[in-house]
Amino acid sequence: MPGSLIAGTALLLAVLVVAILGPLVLGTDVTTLHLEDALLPPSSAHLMGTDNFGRDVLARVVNGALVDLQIGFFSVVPALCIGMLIGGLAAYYGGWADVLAMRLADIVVAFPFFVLVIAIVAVLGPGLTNMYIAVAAVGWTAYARLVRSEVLVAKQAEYVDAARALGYSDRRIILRHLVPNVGVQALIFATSDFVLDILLGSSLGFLGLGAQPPAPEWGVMIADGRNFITQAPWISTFPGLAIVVIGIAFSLLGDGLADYLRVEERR
Amino acid sequence: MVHSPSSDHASRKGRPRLLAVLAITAALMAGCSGQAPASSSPSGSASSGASSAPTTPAGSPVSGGTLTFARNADVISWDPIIPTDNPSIWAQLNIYDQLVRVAKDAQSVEPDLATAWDISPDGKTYTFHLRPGVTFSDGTPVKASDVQFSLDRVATDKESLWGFLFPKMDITAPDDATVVITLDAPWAPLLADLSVFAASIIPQAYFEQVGEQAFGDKPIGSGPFVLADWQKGSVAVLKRNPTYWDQPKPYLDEVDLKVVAEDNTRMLQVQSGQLDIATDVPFNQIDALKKSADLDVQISPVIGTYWIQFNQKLPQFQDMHVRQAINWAVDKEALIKSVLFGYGEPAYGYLGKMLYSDLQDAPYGYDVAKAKDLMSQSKYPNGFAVTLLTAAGDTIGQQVAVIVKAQLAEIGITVNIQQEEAASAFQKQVDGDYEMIEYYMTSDIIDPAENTTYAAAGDGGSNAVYTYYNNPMVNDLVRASNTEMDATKREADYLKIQQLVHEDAPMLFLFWQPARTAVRQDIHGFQVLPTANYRLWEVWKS
Amino acid sequence: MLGFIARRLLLLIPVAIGVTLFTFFLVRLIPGDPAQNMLGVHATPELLAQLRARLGLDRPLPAQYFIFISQLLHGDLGTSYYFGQPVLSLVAERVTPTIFLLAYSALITTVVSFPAAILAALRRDSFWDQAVRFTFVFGISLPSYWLGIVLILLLAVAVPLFPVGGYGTTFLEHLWYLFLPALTIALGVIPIVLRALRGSLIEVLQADFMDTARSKGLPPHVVLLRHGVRNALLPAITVLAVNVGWLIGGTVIIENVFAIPGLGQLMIFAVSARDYPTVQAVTLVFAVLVVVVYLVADATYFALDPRVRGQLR
Repeated sequence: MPGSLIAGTALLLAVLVVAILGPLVLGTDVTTLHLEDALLPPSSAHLMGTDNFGRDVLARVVNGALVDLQIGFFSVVPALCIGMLIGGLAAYYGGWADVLAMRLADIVVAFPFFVLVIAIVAVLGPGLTNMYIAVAAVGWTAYARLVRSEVLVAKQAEYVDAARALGYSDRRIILRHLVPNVGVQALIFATSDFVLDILLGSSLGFLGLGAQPPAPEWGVMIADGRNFITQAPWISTFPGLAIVVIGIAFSLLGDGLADYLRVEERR
Repeated sequence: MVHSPSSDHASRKGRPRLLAVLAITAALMAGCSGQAPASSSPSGSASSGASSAPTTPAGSPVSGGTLTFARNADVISWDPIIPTDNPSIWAQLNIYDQLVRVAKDAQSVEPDLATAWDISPDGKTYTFHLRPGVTFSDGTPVKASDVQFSLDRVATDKESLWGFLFPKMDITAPDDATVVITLDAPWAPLLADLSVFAASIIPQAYFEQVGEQAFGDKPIGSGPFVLADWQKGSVAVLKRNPTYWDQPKPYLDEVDLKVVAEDNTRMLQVQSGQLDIATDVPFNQIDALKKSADLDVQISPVIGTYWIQFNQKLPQFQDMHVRQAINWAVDKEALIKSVLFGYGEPAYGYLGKMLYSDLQDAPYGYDVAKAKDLMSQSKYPNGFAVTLLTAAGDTIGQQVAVIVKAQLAEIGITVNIQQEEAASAFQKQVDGDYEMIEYYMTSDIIDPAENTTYAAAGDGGSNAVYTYYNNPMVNDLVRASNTEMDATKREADYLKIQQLVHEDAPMLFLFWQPARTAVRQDIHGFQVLPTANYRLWEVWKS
Repeated sequence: MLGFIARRLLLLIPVAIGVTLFTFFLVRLIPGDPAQNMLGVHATPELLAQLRARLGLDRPLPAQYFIFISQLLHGDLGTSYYFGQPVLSLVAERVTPTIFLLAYSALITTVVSFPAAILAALRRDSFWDQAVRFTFVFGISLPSYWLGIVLILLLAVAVPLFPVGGYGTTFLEHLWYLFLPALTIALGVIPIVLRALRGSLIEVLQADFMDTARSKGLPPHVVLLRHGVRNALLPAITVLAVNVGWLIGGTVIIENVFAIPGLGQLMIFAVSARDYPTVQAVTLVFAVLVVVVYLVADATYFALDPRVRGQLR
């Protein structure tokens, strides 16, 4: 097993431990206002300082960890599954199925994401679940394209011809031979996507997407803290660093996974 | 200029602010903070830095120079009857003249294109005498027929978004220097209405020659400046009108009206000297910017009120005890200190600090015991849960919501904050599909008639900004005051209306917030007026 | 190749129609009425009805769509509700800064990620490999609106190398003014491209044909550049193309932070104001941009990889 896979897993586990145990140590009350303690710089009492409502930034970062891991997970997994399925089928069968699927993907990507989000939020209401739906509705296209292009190459590979010659069914060929071989780029992308999706809610803050105040969530903390960046940079910097840690963990995990799968493939 | 707090593009009418950008989020949506709200004197506790002194001219004005002036949004159109957003309005007031203009104290109007006017004893006929020798910037003289054309257009053209301000008017031009307006019934706010930007006087001949769309791009007026170049979304270049009637004004040769939507960027640009003036200083940066030797931060009270309104279709808000309890339960001073960094003052009622506003009856103070007592007298002694709708990306609105949520918890009311995209939120307000919503209302005119009609009267056309508050006594007083030509009696009517609305508390009255403008030290004569606009023709550079 | 491009250009038409259809109806389905927005609280039922009639919003949706399409075929995208100007001229004025910014970001992304990926792949698991990978993780983990401000604070305020936002007037000024915004966008994309490229380079380096090339006695850098990079390009191009949506989303945010008068700002305004004709026009322009980028990506594929040729239509 490659070192980066081990390191990535370890880092992610560490984040999980902090996410679960941290609130027990630091408390879960991260919404009570202490207006008299507003905008205090980092000190021994508040290791990461306080925000404009006097809330402890460290406690909010730690309590936000589970929320953000959840956001990343539920944003990526549905998009990954749908995308791999559509991309794989499109490339494998080719022809009109391919044209149709890829043009649909073109339309979806070419369509302004936030108009779609406004519509989804309008119909279903704001909040996290609807953010996942919006992300899945658009996010699958990236995976579909990645998988499709790998399948196009893999289809030509000898092992597929061999399987066909042996009279295996399409279903068996796709599931047993193609999927494990073509998922590498998609998986690597998913590990980047995880972080991108955490930021999405705050990037689209004006749409009312994602966590609602005063719940702690890293992206929102950065968005709110950015107004204080010249005055109290700690409010937005520490949640940003927390996302960087997650980013590094997934980066290691993604590269490690890729190396691991490549080795398997060559066997 | 009523607009929702969310409207980040500075709109006067609840139009969503533009920038709500993607990530633009907060930045763009500084919401109402994008526009200039109002407050007049710093609140007692918050007086830390609120000096509202305009830059005092050091010495006598010097002519020449270019002013680089950044705002958070661009002009939408230069056609006076089209835009409803503040950046367009405030820019247009510098290239056009009106018959009368708002005096600097915003208590009355003063001569502009009309040097004098007579009002008939029955209040139905107004005769305006035009200033002699005024020309449009293309050299053609300003004639009474241009005035007739312009006023007919704003009041009745199907493209006009401002017809609502005007009663039915019969406008005639008996000679080139006289305009007569005849009304069916007296209309007290008429002069105030005629001073709005939408009633700007434009040259009929040029307009009809080039057509409406070209005019919106290449306007001609008789005001102090002329639009020379316009790169949309980036900069509008105004040049001095050499034939302006009030020489030696304007002092500046050129004004570059730049667009810098992001607050942080705008502030960094003015600090670095890339700009001479930057509007809408974020409240949290005022004190830091004031320390800069090259800069002055002007805090200017402007007309407008920030509140959270109750939907009185809901049974809990039909109970006056509940509405009053909420007003007592929220610490306005703490809110102003935390969100506005002290630069604001508690709102006395629904009306901004303006003509006829009631400053005798104190605002609701902070008294949790009293609030609890009122709750126990209500039908909801144990409180209830309620949703507070805010415009996503509106940073001020969100901070207000978080604090109000915490304070209402003290009296047993559980507030759930729900953010929604600004235009969707406004639509919910209009449809009455909300429980509580934040709103910031400014006034298009210096007369309280507009805000009172739309925010206090139950039959004014918008169900009291969609609170469904309806007090027949208020409605009667509003109708009477609109046709009352005696100023003393009108003032008495307005005091009574404000007392009634204060008592009924259809909203949680929050604060009056000032305009904040960063001005470099070598710029003189700049001042944001209570109507939130600025007379760039009085500005000079040393 | 030409036939392939011609076929793909023809396919632009259904995509464009699909996008306009989708936009047209979706934007009308979302809550918020343009007339209500324009009139604000002054809207009475009569005023609303009058304005809706003037804007053509009182007609049934299919009729509105038919009018929109027939105008479009005549090159007329309609008149903005808010600006009172033809949408085409509004869009035309704003399209250049956005394309400039996009191309600039793509350029920076390429210039940075290719050498970095080659370095990382050649010195796999070395200090340099780790350094390259972790440095750029920052770019993807920090939101661009925050990163943009920090870059301004560092490179325009603390060390005044670049202006604090703006667009400039000449080509050279554009290059100078847009460097920080383009860098901000690129920093968000580089890590993704870098990883894809590094991954496929490593794969290619282990491939049989590389062994063959090496055994022929070709110098290592020739082997790498002639065979390795070329074969590793495909996944990287796909990843770059896949991210064009992100790039465009990025420009919208970044134009705001850096005060660039581009399409993104117009788009956000139009959506918040429910200015349907403007939303439709900007969407269409973005759609064409995206499709053209995909076309370029696929054409590159076609040229680079003979195996794919038969599969693309």
